[in-house]
Parts: sequence; structure tokens; C-alpha cells
Amino acid sequence: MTVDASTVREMVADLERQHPGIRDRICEESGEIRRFVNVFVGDEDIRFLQGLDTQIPPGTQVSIIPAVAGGR
Amino acid sequence: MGAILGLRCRECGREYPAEPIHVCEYCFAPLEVVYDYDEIRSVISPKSISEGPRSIWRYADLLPGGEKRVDLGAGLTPLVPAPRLGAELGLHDLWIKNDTLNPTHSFKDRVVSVALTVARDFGFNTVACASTGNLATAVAAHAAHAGMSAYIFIPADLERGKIVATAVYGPQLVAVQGTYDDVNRLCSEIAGQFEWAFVNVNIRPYYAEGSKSLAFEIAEQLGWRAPDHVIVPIASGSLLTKIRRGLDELVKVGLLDGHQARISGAQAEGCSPVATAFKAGEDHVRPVKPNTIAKSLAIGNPADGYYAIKAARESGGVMESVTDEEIIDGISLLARTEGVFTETAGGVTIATLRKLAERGDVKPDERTVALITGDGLKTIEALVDRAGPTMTIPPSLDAFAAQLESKN
Repeated sequence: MTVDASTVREMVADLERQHPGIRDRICEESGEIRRFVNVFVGDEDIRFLQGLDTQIPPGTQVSIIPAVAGGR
Repeated sequence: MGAILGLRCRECGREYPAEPIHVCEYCFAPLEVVYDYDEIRSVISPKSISEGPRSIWRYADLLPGGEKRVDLGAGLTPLVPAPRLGAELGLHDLWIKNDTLNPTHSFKDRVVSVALTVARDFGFNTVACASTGNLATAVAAHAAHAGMSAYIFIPADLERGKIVATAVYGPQLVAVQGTYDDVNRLCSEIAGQFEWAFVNVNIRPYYAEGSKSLAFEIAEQLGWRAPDHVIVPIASGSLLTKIRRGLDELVKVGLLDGHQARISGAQAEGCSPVATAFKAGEDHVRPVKPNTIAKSLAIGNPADGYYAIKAARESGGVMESVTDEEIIDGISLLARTEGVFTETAGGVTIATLRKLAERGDVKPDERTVALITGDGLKTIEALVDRAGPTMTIPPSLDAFAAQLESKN
């Protein structure tokens, strides 16, 4: 899907506008991304960029992926 | 399902019935087993435990799983004082928890015994796992014992000994051309397609509980007292987290008056995402591509890294990583001083312990327990260049005497 946003924060707001209720699934009450939700701008996890303030250049693919628990 | 109440999300707290699920469907965080501690407190005692089976199931009140257990005798391994290793490291009260002495020679028998018991309770006939070896072997053996089918997914480059020691039990053994993290990702997809009990996917909340038995045993073997410090190797981070949870639960059910055990974590430098985040003061673990001889710890994207960091920090513990060279030295040191031969993961624990002792992070008088989680025969490749005959002679007394002379 396509959103109108230049940062991750704006992306979340636009997602919520298009699909009310989704914000609460991916964000804490504080607005921060939930611990077991990963947001990738391009191939990079936004936790290692600028978090919610990470810039999204026009046309960039953003992936929202639940961190699947696994491991021995 | 024993005395458990159900499952609860570790982040948002939503509750779920006891089912083969592992992720909160609302916030995607992992689920954890919930117990009725007041009820357990009313039935459990040192006596009730000492009269129980000589396996992890003596702590059945604090584990999931019903009466029809898949029990090959995992657990109740020796906790032995390690004075000679302690003297080398300047520690006066050091103990080794020797979990090489499990049915398939690693601590994984504990978690698998619980996982397969619960899987059978749920009505599964087929179990599966992603593994770097120890889990594979434990699942294969317990499945054979229980008459269940097993599908086991391993990285294709695993040590030969671990492949043979798994294949011999007759599972479907699938060698995947990729890293453990690739295998794990594949298994998450397979788990969505097939109605199998994946011990470390949909059975994970129950499976992971088996690790608590290590903490229970240490306390019982110390005469129902907690140690001051526990050194734990980290792969997914689950074991470290569960050691703390186990000790906390003993307080909740009245078997310990309290505890101040510090829990410290050990990783190999070639795969140290958790220790790196800990040392940087961060919560989030940045995934890495593993490159270490400690293959049983080589998880680049550890599921419980965050919780392990939290448990270490809150308990006053620390984390450190060691090089492959230090790992091999650690294996040799433990074998030479205490007569315990561990696989590379135990080398990581001992090498880290040495580093922490030198730095004063493990204090000389602390009652410290180092967890030795797997047998050295599993990873002899690591030592073939380091351990061999000290002399090679023709079969003659003269030759032996001459060699002995030249050595002395």
C-alpha cells in the first residue's frame, strides 16, 4: 500500500487515517514502535536509524514485520 | 497440563488459554506460561521434591505438562565444587553445574522433555525443530523414546558428530544450505503450513520453561540456598532469562527466603549481539552474521536477547564475549583442572568467567556457579590440533625410557 509521509512518524499517522486501529497494534501508548514489531526503511531497521524520525525518501519501500520469536 | 493457568503476553499482558501458540496476536510479543503460585506454594516442599523422580520432573509443580511424561531422565546432574579451577582464577567458592551428564549430553534434554510431554498432551504425533545440533539430538532421542515422528532442520555445515548423533535415532533429518538463522526463518514458515509441534516455535513458551529446572537443581543441591552469581552461556538468551525466573519462582513458592543472585552472560566474540548491546547500554539487539567455533551459541538474531539483557542488568550481572582462541583455552583449562570436558559453549562460559574474575566482576568470595551445558565429545573438531599424544614411540621399553628421559 502507499502512504503519504516523509518520516516513519508521519507514515504511522497516515496508516491510522487509512486503517483506524492499526496504530495501537504497532505502537506503544507512548507512540514508540512496539518491541516485537520491526520497521525497516529499505533494508535497515529504524531502531538503528533515527527511530520514528527516520526519513523516508520518496518511493522507498517500508516493511513492518512482527519479530517472530524462535531459536533454541 | 499440570498446575498452569494459561499463557500471558510478556509485553502487553493479554491472557490466552494453554494452546500451541507462542506469539501475542495483538502486539506480537512472546507468550509465557502462567502458574498459580499460591496453589503451588500449598503443595510444594523440599520433602515433596526429594521424594519425586530423579529427573527434572521432581519439579513438576513448576513445569507445564501432565502426568504422561516423555522422560529419558534429563536433569539432576552433578553440581560439583571446582577448587582447582577456582585457584587458577582466584575464586574461593566456585562450582560447576555439569549438564554434560544428561541423556544426550546437553542441557537441551531438559527443555525437550518438557516440550514433548506438552506436545503429546496437545495431541501432536509429530514434533519438529530448528537446531544447531544439541536440540536436534535431544528431540530425536526423546521422539524415539516416545514413539513420535520427528522432523529436524539443521544447517548443512554442522559438526559431523552432531549429525550422526541425531540421525541414529531415526528422525527425518533435513540439512538446510544456510545459517542457523536461515533454518529458523524457514521453520517459522513451515510451522505455519504443517500441523506439527515445533518445539522452538509453537511449543516454545512451554519448551523454554524446562530451563528453569537448572535453577531449581542448583538451589536444591546447595541445600535450598541461592548462589551469589551464575555464569550462563547465551544463544537465544532464553536460558539466562529462565535461570532468573526459576530462582524468582522458588522465592514465590516459599522454597527460598529470597535471593540476590547475579546472572551474567557469556558469548563468543564471533557471535555476540547480546553482549555487545549490553555493553553499549542498549536494549535492542542488532542482528549479526555468526562466525565462531561455538556453533551451538551461533544465533545471530536471538529471540530473547532483550529479556536476557534485562535479567542480567536487573540482577547486577554483566555480559562479556571471548575469542575462539580463548574458548579453546577455556575448554582445556576446565578439563585439566576439574576433569570435565565441555563442548565449545562451555569453553565460552569458562573463558568469560576467567575474564570477569580477572576484572573483579566475579568476586573471589562469591558463591559462583558456571553452567557447563554440553559435552566436549560433541565438538572434538575444535581441539584436534590442540589435544593429542604427548609422545609417540615404537613398542619397546627402551624407546619409552629414552622419550621419558628427554622429556624430563
